[in-house]
Amino acid sequence: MLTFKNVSKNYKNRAVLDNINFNIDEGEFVFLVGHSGAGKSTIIRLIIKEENLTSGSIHFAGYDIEKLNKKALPFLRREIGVVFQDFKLLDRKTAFENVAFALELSDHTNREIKKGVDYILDMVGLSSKSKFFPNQLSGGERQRVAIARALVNNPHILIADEPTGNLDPSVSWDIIQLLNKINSWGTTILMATHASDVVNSMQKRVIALDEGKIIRDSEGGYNE
Amino acid sequence: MMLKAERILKYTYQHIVRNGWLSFASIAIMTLTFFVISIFSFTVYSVNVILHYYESKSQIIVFFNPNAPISYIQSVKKDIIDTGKASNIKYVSKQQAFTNFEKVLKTQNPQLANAVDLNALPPSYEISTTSLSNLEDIANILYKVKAQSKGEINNILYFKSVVQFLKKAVSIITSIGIGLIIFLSIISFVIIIITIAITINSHSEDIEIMKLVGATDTYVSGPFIIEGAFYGIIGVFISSIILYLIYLVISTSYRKSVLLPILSFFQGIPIPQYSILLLLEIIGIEIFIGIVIGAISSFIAISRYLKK
Repeated sequence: MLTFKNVSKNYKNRAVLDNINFNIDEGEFVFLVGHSGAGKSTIIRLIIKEENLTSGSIHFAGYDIEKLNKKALPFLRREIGVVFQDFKLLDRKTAFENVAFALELSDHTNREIKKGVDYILDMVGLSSKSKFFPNQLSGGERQRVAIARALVNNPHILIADEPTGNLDPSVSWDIIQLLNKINSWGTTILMATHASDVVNSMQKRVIALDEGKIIRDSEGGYNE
Repeated sequence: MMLKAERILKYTYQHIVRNGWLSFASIAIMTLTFFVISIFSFTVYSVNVILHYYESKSQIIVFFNPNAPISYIQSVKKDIIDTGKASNIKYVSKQQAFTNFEKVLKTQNPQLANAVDLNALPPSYEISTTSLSNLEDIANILYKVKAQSKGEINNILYFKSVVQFLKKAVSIITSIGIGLIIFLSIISFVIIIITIAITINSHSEDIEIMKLVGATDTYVSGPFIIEGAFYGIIGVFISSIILYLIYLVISTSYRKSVLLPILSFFQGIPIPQYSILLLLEIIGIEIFIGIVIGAISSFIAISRYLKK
């Protein structure tokens, strides 16, 4: 479903990704691990075409991402749910409106939106706070809203970039459990993290990066 | 399509309401801008009206010899009419001239009034035109007629220097006024663009997020463009109301001459009258300009983010 083929990315002649190859199948839960600056976030930015690659190709759900034009880009992004470390919620919209926004973009009716958002907020345990603005929510709650927004469009893949990076350990664990639950329902998950305890406890497929190269791609804990 | 439009309008409403202070500031700037431009335009227009009033009051007076035959006097009138440039030709007969003269002198110098003979006063034409250049043309024709006459025309009264001064004043004030209005407009529009850019800047993170979750450019920019147009409409609307109130106060107190002593100086000059229809037309045009400027400013400011 998601294939990286000989992907390299340079910033001003400095290679941040060097000949990356991997394939993620539908329903997988994959950790992308490595130190800061190893290239985890760059991989995510390339998938959602926030940046262009230097060489190679990325294929996702029938899209050749490199060849995608500016007009088609929003449609690609609606098929990928992304959760960020800093949540990236719209501060002037309530939790409900933040989640609804993703559905409004794909022209769902108001009735469908209400039903879909209520369902997904209930799933992430926030139905009682749907009218709260992000600044009235805790960090964990904000991340749940972000997950709800990423999920509500029923995406092919949910990509989480350090989703627990700004959260307390106990809250982080809740978020991981939630992602695991979502994966068990069939959604593919790619999660970038350097939280070794999380990776160790989950024992899923791990793609480890170091200085822009894949140094490991196997199931297990953080350092295996 | 309808759904999309409805949502863009909903986002616009949320932007405006949830950004209360910034919206208020944008509306205030728009109001101030249109107010200053309007006040300035009306001032230039009013000064022009006043100058034109004096222009229309300028006259040429042709004094005939008291013994000039009436047929000659009428032929001169025909010459003036033939030019097509006179707006009013008033004949003052010997009798009328005497009555006018008597009226003035009786209060000032009754003895002199008694000494003046009716036949000593000349009949005359008082000629008015709509513009100063027409007045000059008629004056030139009359000078020619006088040169050809055999003493039937006594004198031609035409204050050339005053007329020339007025003519110059009208043209200078008009060109300086138009220049200043253009200059002010450019400055104001730059201020409007900057204000709206600041508003959009405060949304820069939102724009980035919207694009990340798959919003098209129309979805992102639509609400901002409508928001800009909305500020334009409200700005024009408020400034028009304030201006109209000022106009009402000035025009009523001008008629009664109670507001400012200086206004009494202008007594007699017809202040520009605006019918409701004309005012609505002016407001309509201003609202259109407001919408265009607001929307264009937003578009310019938002395109910076859409390119990213």
